[in-house]
Amino acid sequence: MEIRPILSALMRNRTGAMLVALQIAITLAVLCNAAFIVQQRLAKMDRPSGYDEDNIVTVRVVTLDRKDRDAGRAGIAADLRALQGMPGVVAASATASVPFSNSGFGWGFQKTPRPDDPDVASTSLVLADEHALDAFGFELAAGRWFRPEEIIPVADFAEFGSTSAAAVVVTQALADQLFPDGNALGSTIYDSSSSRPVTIVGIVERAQGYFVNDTSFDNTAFTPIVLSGGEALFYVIRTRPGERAAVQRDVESVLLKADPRRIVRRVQSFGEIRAEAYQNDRAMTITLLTVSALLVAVTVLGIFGLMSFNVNRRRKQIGTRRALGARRIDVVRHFMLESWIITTAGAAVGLVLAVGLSVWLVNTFELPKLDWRYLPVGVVVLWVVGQLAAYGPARRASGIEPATATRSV
Amino acid sequence: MFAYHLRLALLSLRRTPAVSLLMIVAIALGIGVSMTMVSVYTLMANDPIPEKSDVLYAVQLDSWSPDRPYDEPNEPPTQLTWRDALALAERSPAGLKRTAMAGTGFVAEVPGAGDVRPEIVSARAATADFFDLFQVPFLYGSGWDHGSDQDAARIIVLSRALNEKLFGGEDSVGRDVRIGSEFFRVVGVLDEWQPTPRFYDLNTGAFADTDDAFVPLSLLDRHQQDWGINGSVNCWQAPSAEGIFPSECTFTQFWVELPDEAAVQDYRAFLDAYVQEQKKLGRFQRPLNNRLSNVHEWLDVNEVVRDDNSVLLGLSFMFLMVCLLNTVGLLLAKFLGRSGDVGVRRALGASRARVFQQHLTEVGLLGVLGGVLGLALAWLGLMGVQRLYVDYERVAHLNTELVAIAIGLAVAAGLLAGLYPAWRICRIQPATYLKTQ
Repeated sequence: MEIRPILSALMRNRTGAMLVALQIAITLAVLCNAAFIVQQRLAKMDRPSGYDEDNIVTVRVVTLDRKDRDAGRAGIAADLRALQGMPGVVAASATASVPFSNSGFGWGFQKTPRPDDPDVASTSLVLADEHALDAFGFELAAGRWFRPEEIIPVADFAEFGSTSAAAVVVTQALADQLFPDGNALGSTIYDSSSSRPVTIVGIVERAQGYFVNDTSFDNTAFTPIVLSGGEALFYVIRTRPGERAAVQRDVESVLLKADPRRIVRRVQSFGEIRAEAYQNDRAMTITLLTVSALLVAVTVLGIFGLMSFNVNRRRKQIGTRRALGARRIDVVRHFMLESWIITTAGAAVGLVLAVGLSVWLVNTFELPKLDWRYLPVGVVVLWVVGQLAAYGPARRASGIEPATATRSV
Repeated sequence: MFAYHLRLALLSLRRTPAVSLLMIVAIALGIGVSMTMVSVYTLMANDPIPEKSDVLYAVQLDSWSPDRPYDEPNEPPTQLTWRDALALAERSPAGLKRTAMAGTGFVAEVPGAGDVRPEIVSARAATADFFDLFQVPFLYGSGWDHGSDQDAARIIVLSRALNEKLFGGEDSVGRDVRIGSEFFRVVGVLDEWQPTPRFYDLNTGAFADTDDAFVPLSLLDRHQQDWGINGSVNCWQAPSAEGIFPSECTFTQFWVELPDEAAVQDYRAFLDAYVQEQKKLGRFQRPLNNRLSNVHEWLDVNEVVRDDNSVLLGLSFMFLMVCLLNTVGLLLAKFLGRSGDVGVRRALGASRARVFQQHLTEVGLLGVLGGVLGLALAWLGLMGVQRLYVDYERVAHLNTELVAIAIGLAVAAGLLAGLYPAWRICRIQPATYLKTQ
């Protein structure tokens, strides 16, 4: 196949070809960067949480009348028994805030009691009772969970602030950050705001914290404290597979039966909490995919429009070529190759634009740098798209009768 | 003449329906996508209180740990400690409107109204100037005075929505609300008030609802144990057994109105003096690092416009550009395809300017049609955005201003796209085309 006649034909409608090439260039730039961002968000949303997500229901309880420490403790114990007694419930536990909810204690732990220790590990601190291991459904990697006698009831946040438990259970990620050499179990660490010591008695394989956008999302520590005055009370309920919906439906009435004067709010499955936590990432992913799909569609239309126009304008020349012995397949090839050349020229400019766009995103928004492998993939996608868009007009061109050459218009 | 051009344009659109539709769809898609992003962006970057956004200042004091900054690099905490907020409210120069405040919450019920369910109320404890400072509109009654701040009067101002729920929307000034075991007298009911973003306290989300109720800040002091803080509490030092109120934890906000640059300078000096004095008491061990941010700066500091939305805005303009390039290409093909007609018109005496005008009219028509369809698409897009985000109802809607922007953008984009093709077509030599016929 001769390239020269195609090039010279192209040069006759330079502007049109250039416009389409420019479209392809911008499309490539947007496509590569969008795909890269989408891939990152998908990876972020795909991180395992460590919880038995499919079978967890959480609920918030607001009491109208504050209780003192012991009455509150007894009330919580009664609630937990009631919840435990619901059909399909595996375990129930009381806490003060729910993972993934973007609300909870952001804490710090360090290896020394020095207030100026530079190595503070940020972590989510979860208040947990003896049932939490079963209620969240995470795996203990080493050590043990809290014993019932270890759980300390505190009346309110003020008392919580000045209470320190002797034991703490941490996630493997937090253990690894504080003890890269792996001797975390049994070691003493220090609360960075009070320098109070706590001993790591257990390590949980994985349990993500409150704030999905934090770099320290995998760092979580559990402290054996129950806030019993009613200031912030959540129940975490784990059900047998398939029974979550029923428990979610009935939990409010069970809790109101125990005390009709309280308010039950936010009965949510873990899936709902998770979806809310990742809603920005999910929205960004869907928006980028939609815009990318529309962009490719518009570009296809652009290539299609240009090729159709070219075919129409060159009917006479095509007829002549056919009359001179060119086969139908030669005509098809001619236009496919023309489209390929335009796509490739556009893609070449697009590579530069894509890198430029990535640099802008990196500098302005501190996004990670574009992975170069997205560039060749983007080019291949556009080649395929370009060929598909050109095929229709090319087929139509090949149907032009040689006799057309002899007609005047 | 315009009517004639318009008729020609309509004729031309009808003659090539496929290409015309393609161009309209291209413009509409470009406008639809970019207007969706522009709407979300402009409403996020909205000025919530345009009359006063230049003179209202949020105060930050660097009371953080001597060992590390609140946030890198050397950013002071975004909130104040309780005692600093109270001190500033009390000691700020007379004549300056100021308010110290914190988010709190409780359960409120109407005594004796058996059928009205108790409501969980997210409330704001603030000092008296709050309503005046932020130009809060009242439906009934009013706020309170400094005297009520002093003696922690049991009074409450309800939002319109909460008054609706508790009192069925009637004038409830003078009625009582029960919170815990105490009664609070209603002194005012707000009218609809929803600054977007909710600049005065961004801790529970920039697009959160305004508070359900307002009480004097001194009441929160008395109800430390049972009301608690609704928002963020940040501590670098563990609070003592007395709780967070006397601690170094930050959970209070402070705003002051400074009418001019001189007032800003004076107030800076006042803040510095306050911190220097506290340093003598052993507090504020970090270098002097006080900040005054007006509303615009405050929204920036708190990154109210998400990076995601800025990225999408940028990408959507690139999308619009692709759509326009597409339209330019199609227009060029279409116009040049009718070189013969134009040749005849030119030969019959139509001036270049006339030919140019004729084609621009056609392009303008395409722009308007594309714009209208684009608006419909933007509306669909915003419905989609609302479905994607839980708290975006307020951010994702079209207002008249945005509709005007969309139409204007579409026509401008269309004309821009048509300029080159129209210029090309009016430059053709009539003779060339007459000959080939």
